Amino acid sequence: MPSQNINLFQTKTTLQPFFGSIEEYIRIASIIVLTIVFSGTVMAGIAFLVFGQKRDSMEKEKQQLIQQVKDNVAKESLLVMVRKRLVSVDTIMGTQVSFAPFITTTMKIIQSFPLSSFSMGQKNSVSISVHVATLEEAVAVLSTLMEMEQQKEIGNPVLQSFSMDGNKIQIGLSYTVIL
Amino acid sequence: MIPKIRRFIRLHKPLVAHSILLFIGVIGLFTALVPSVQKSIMLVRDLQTMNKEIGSIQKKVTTLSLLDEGGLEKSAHDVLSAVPADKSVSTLLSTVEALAGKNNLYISDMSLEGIGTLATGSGTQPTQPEGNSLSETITLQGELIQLRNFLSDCVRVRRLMRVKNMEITSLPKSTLITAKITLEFFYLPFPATLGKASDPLEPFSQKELGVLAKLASYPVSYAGSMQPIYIDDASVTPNVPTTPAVSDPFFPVQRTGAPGPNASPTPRPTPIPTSTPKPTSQPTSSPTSFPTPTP
Repeated sequence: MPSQNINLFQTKTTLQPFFGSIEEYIRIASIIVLTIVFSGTVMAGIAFLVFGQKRDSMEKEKQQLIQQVKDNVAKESLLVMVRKRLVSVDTIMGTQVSFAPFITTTMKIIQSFPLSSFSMGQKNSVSISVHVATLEEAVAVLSTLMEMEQQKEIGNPVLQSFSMDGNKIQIGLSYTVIL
Repeated sequence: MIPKIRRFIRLHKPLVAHSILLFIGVIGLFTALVPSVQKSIMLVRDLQTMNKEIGSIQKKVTTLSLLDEGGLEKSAHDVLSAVPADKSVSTLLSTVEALAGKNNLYISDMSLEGIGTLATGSGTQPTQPEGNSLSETITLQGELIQLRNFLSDCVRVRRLMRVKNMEITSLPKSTLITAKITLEFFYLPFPATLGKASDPLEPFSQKELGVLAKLASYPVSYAGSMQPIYIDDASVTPNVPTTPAVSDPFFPVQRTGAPGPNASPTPRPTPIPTSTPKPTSQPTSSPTSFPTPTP
């Protein structure tokens, strides 16, 4: 006699269509990612090994070269010391000004007359005072000054003072020495 | 809740398995692959840096091996005699004195400014390119032409100096003049560090060699003692004995007559016996007493 009961429960479950569609994508993605990770790690490992060995050999070479530099440290220190000092020497030599031309110019101007005073000013300017005995001698000094100005040995000659005291004449002059 | 999850897992077993694999892959990507690649890139960069360093050190080694140590020592002596490492007041004074003496000028006054402590000053790092400076004011008396020669020599002598200021006045009823000159001397401490081994090192340039040659042509006007870095005469006087002529500086040197063939170059006195000293009534010349030099 056939059963008259009806089984209302589903005997077989069905997959939801959404999960069914993404399962394929996830499967492909997982394969790709795992392949990349595996092959990438292997390649990185090989590169690390090769480069590491190269680094070690280069480190050895570097240490050998550093040892050679250390062996020559006396030369290096001398070279560095001389080079640093040469900067100083060059600067000093470049800024050294010989005052001899100022004296030479003054000696030309005063000739054999006694120099009373000499002082240096800014921009190669010189102020002197000279003693002469007669007016002719004073004229000789001034004419020498003018000649030297024409020969461009000096510039801006100025008669600063002229005083006569009995037989003594004092001339105050200023000029710029052209070096 | 848990039965639902179990049911989901049971229903979507392949999906869950692939999801777990994907998750592991992603974790592996970020924890293993990315750091490995980063390390490899860093290693490549390290290699490039090291390659450059090795090239630089190699060049430095070549440069150093080509340098002549004797020449360097001579150059060091030349520059140190021009600009010493410390204040070196003795060389400063003797330079001025030698120049004045050479030009027959009389030094009537001399004063040093800014000398500070008597310490060497070698630790003071310079703030100017020419180094630290020391001023000296001197008053000279003499003829004008002698002064001109002095000023001309000033800038062509070691140690290097610079004339800062000058005033001249004439002496009354005389052709002599008095010049008050302020001179500036320089000193530069030794460099404190050499730098790294990979720092580049070039040999002297043509300009530097020119400065060195110019400096070497300047005479040294002082008789002070410098650091014995290089002995100028060592190359030109090869017959200089390496042993001192007199080992005992307090022993009188025999001046009369040449020493015999068996004479020792450094005659030593006969040692005085310390035991049983015999007093002598007549004065005898003992080795410790200096004899009167015979003309």
